[in-house]
Amino acid sequence: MVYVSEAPAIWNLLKGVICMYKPAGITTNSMRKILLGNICRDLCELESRPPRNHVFIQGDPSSSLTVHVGPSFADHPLVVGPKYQPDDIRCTWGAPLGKNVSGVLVMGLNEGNKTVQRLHMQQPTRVFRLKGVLGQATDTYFSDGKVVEKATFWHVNRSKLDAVLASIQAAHQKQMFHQCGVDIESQTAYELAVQGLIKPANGKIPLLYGIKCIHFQPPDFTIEVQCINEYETYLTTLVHDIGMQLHSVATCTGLQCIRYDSFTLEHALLRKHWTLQFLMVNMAQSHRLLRESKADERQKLPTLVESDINHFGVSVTSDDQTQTLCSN
Amino acid sequence: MYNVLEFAFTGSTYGVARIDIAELEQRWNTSSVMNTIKKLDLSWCQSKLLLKRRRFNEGTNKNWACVQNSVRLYVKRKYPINPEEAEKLPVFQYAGTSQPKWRVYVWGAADHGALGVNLQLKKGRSPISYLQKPIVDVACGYGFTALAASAREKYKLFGCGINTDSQLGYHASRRDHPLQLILTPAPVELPLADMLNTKVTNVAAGRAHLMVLTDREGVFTLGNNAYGQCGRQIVEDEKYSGSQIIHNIPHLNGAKIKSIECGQDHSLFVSENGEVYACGWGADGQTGLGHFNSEWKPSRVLGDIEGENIVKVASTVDCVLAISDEGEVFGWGNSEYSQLLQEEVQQIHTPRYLEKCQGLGKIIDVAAGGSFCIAANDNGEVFVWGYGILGKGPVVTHAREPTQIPSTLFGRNEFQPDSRIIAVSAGIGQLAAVSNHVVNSCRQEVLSQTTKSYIFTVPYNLQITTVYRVKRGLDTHSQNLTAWDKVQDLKKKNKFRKVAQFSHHVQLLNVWHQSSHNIL
Repeated sequence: MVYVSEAPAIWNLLKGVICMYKPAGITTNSMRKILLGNICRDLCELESRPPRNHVFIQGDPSSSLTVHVGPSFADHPLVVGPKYQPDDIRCTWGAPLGKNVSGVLVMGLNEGNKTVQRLHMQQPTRVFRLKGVLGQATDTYFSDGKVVEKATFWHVNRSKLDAVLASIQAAHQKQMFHQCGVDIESQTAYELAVQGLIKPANGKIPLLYGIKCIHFQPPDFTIEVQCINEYETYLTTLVHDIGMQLHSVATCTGLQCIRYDSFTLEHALLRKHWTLQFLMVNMAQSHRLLRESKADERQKLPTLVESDINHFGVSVTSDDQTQTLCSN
Repeated sequence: MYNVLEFAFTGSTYGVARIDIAELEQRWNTSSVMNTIKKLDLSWCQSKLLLKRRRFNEGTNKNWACVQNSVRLYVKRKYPINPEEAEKLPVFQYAGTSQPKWRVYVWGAADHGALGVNLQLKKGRSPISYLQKPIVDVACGYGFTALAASAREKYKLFGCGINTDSQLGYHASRRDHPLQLILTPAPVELPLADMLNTKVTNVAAGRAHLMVLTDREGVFTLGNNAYGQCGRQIVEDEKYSGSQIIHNIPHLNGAKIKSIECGQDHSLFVSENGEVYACGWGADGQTGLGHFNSEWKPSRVLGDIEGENIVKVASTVDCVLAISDEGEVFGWGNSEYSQLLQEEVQQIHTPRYLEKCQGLGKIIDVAAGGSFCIAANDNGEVFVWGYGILGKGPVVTHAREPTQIPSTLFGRNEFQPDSRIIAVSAGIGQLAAVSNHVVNSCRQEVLSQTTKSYIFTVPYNLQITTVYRVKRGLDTHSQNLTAWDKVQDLKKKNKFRKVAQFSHHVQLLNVWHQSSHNIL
């Protein structure tokens, strides 16, 4: 372990990719502000260089002048503000998470922004856990909305839900061929289809690759979705549609991103750990992870790559665990 | 516009609602649309569904965009939510127990009534109630359809479509004026000895004849017998239109009949002890009786299948394939495209063991189309050979040896590693396969392809769940694309029990767990 107590040294190292756990209820942008505030706070607490000296030449020019050297007020934190300010740090994300979504959010710091953008352009898949409740529908499709309709759900059972999910999965895998960007009648389309799962050519069209139920205890249920190009409203309306297909109504009560490319929940920093020390460790970990998954060498491929597929299916956790995760 | 909206609602689970959109178009603005929607007395979800479907159908329509905005404005909260209001809301019950459990899906050309939905096309007609009973089998001939129902009733067989040769029985609205086209499924009365207890288990249809297998009274044949395909003596210049003859074949040399299959103008029977019998037209050797003549009497097929326990025979036109319980494949009949043997023999009148199918694993299902064959093995892999569009892309190919269609095209991928094909079928110009993809409960899909120059030159997932079987009949015309589109709108979460593809570009999916005929 190397201990560094000087802020400039840390500042120079502050370039890379970080993997954060975004809590639900705050926007990605306000999360970014909190993060940058924390970074600046921690940087300012470290040892920094003393204020620059200012040379004062005083006295009467006709007689004698005295030269004093003292700390410059123009460089003093009490005059010009903290040494490190949020505006000094460039920080963006590749794929944003909606306000009500919690989970893995990969962000870039300074030079790391390029890596994050490149990763985003490769259209990596994400895995979400969607928690829903049967029996009521709200006007926002999320539990924070006004309840506008209620319906019975006694007839819904696990096998019916599975059948609906399977049907959705089949629908999307069929749609996959239409969205691949080549003429469906052509030999190229055939050769593409032979390769297996393919990514949509358009970066705006959501596509689900896998969807399954991991917890069912009416009225509550949790489903896990492996998808691409999704967004918050899409996922909440997905739960709504599932409710309607089950001849009932449903509302989404929680959304959690559990994987983005190779980044999973175990890599993500919780809010209590959004400090400089943990960020530096996390940055090194992310760097290692990206190197292992060869993110730099990857081009945008028309098919799913290994890092798009792994970690799906290993997440069959017990119900308690699921509930804990979703309530985070 | 009227239709689109109505369809949106029949497609939904909530019943039918109608809006006079023509009237709306006259004075089109947001409030009038919203008022109309309010008048419908829909629930909130229903109106959202309506708007969503409408949006989907019309794309960027400014008028509907403003409706959408009005809904969106509604979402913006002006007053805080009062939780007590939610308590007062009524609890809807959308799930009903009274829904019929069976549903039949059809598509393709409806010109001759083979879809049986002509009356349904008129608005306001209620579904045909007498057909709302479990359909156990469906068969499609040349422009006609037969459905076997499981019921302890008088009528166990229904038919619709072309009836020029009385292949669907005698139907006359006036005396001596037999109907040559039946536009909606009509009951066909079989001369059963035990009317209540005998069950119809299987139906098979050829070019102009129909065979019906019952569980205890053998096979009944209807329709054209010009080549003896009905298993009765050929009568010169017999008049088939208006004929009331239904011939019964109770057993074959004392053995019970297990399954039946119709080619174009020949019939095949498999007995319970694994023997194959054939009758009908034999000009290409499709009867397999060792000669090229027509044979009216169902006679035992010998050759290489002698001593084998045959479990299935498959024929659509004039090439016949058979599989034994050990998974070996035999064939006879037409071999113009080297479907059967390596050497250039065009007709084979005696069953031959197909050496080209060695090494493909245990074959569990086969189907023979017009110029190609398809087989599925116990690993769920699919092999095709012959001439045409074989599922290897849009290029017409000639494969003398069985080649595998990549399993990825049938939905085997990282998320469905256990997806495999459990049944195959073939028409003259199409192939189809049923995949068994189990996600906790049974779920299967139909994958289909056509040789016509339409979009399905690669295996195409029709997105139907829990299919029981696929059948394909004869097909001479091109696929009706609009009908295909309709099918894509049918994407429902229902459990499908059976799929049958009819001749004359008709496919009929017979579905468990939903009402019948409620689809258009």
